[in-house]
Amino acid sequence: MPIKYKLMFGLLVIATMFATASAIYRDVFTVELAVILSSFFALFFISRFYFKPFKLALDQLISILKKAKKGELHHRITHTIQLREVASSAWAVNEFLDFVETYFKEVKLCFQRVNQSDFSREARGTGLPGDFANSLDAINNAIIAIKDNQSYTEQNAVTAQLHDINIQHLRSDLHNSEHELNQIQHVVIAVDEIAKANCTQAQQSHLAINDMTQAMRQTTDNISTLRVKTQSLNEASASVERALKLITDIADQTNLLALNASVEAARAGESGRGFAVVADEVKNLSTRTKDTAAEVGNIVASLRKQVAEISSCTEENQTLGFKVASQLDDFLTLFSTLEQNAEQTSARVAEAVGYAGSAMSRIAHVIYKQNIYAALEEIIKGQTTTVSLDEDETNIQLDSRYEALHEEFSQLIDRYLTKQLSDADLIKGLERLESNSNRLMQG
Amino acid sequence: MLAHNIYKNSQEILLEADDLIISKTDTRGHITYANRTFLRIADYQEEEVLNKPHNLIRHPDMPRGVFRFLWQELRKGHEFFGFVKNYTSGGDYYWVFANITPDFDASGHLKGYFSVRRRPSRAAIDTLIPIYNTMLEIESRANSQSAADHSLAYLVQLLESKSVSYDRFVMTLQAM
Ligand SMILES: Cc1cc2nc3c(=O)[nH]c(=O)nc-3n(C[C@H](O)[C@H](O)[C@H](O)COP(=O)(O)O)c2cc1C
Repeated sequence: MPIKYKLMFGLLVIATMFATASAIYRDVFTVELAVILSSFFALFFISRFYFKPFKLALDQLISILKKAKKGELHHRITHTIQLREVASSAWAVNEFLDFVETYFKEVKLCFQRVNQSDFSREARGTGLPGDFANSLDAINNAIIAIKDNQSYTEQNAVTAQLHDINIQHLRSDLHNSEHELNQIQHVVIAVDEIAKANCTQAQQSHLAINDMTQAMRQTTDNISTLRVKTQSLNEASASVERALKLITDIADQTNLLALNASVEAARAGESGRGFAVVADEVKNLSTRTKDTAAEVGNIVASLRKQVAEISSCTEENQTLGFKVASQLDDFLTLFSTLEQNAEQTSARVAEAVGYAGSAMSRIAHVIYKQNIYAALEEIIKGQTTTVSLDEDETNIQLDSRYEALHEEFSQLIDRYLTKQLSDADLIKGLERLESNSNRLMQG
Repeated sequence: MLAHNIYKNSQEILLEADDLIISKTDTRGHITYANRTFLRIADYQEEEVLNKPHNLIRHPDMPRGVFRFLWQELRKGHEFFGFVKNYTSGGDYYWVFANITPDFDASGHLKGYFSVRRRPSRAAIDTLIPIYNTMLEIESRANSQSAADHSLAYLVQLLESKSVSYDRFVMTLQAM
């Protein structure tokens, strides 16, 4: 309460006390005066007890509102029972401050979390009056937008990282494939050499068998000649035997003749003496002739026996020879099939080598393109590029068509790097070269 | 347990959708302010709650582990969200979805705590009651010193097994 009212009250009380004292002193204490005095006292007490809660409440309200104005929203009027009739005004202020404080807390707390990228905490408007609640809803929408934006940015960052990882690995994977293909090609070439060696060996074997067949044929021919010869030998022996018989017969007759001659010589006596000698000699001659013929006959017989053996042997050899010859014929067909197979293998292997070679060219081409893109990306991001655009890196002998295309790629990049081309030009150029590349790789 | 015996016909008091129960405490958890909704629902006179510890309205069905967690969070300067069952002065009870935050002055000193409670989702309460009951059971088996730690450990492990944070868990429940 302002001081002037206090003074006024004080003066009034003093004046009343003074008036009462003087009235008693002068003995003029009348009923009227008592009424006036008691109304003064009544007024005094009413003002003290009736207006005091108002004053108290008002004081508190004013002080709290002043603090709120300074930003201290946490003060409240408590012990409202003392405020009696004014309590509801105090509660109205309290509840208003409750709303305001809750509102600000919600805003502060959810943004604190948003700052740490935690979007899970909504600002809760339930229980707050319309405008407060609406404002918090708007904030929630804003937070969702921030979150979407952040996750979009993060997504981009993530996809970019994924892309980077993918590209890196793609390139090394391609290098590996290229390496493997190279090895496959080496292996296939080795197989080709083996196939070729097989083919020459088959050809050589073919020739050898041819020679053998030739030799075999010669042998069987010889054997049949031998057979004919044996036959005639046999026949010759027979005629020798016949001749020997004749000789033996002649010798027998000669012997008889000699015998007769010696008988005649004996009868002639002395004159026949010389003749007897001759007859003896003739007799001896015939005996010796007979002996020799018998000897020769024995020889011829044993010869014939041997010839018969040879003959049967030759016969066996001939059948054997025919058998071997037909086996050699089989070998001959076998080796020519082998030769054909080896030739075919060689042809297929050559095909495979061709495929491997073109696959390698393709992979080398893909690697080249990947390197270009990776380098471009790094350059565009402003990094110094670590990717090599050097073609020799792949160690592959490229098809000239790919080489020409690579030349076009590298010219395009040069023109872009020297700022002769805009970004859009670069993209257009790359698209054109890609479609060429596509055609080349499919062809 | 005693409370159960005292209030045999305990009734549930349901909050309205826009009821906002607000209270403030000093740093020790003694009530320095309670709004009229608080007083109406808990059925107290203002003078009966001022300067009283907040466990004045504590319900025995609430596991101690939950309050252990509450104070842990507040001491770290974090806000706490949770579903709490409270007693009215007359022995009835009411469920709230509570949010308690520490209050700091301009120089960063702790002034006290501020709590806002709203109507909880029914589905959330139905989900939580069995969990709270398990926690209570764990507490009844443990000695009184370690009871809260044990039941809180259970809750933490349960949430870990669902790979969800406590905050996310209660907020999802409230959204049900
Ligand atoms: C701002 C604030 C509000 C609280 N509100 C409640 C409440 O509504 N119900 C309750 O049981 N405990 C509440 N508590 C927790 C209590 O202080 C207390 O820790 C709890 O009732 C457990 O009691 P105890 O610590 O004696 O075991 C609140 C604490 C703070 C700081």
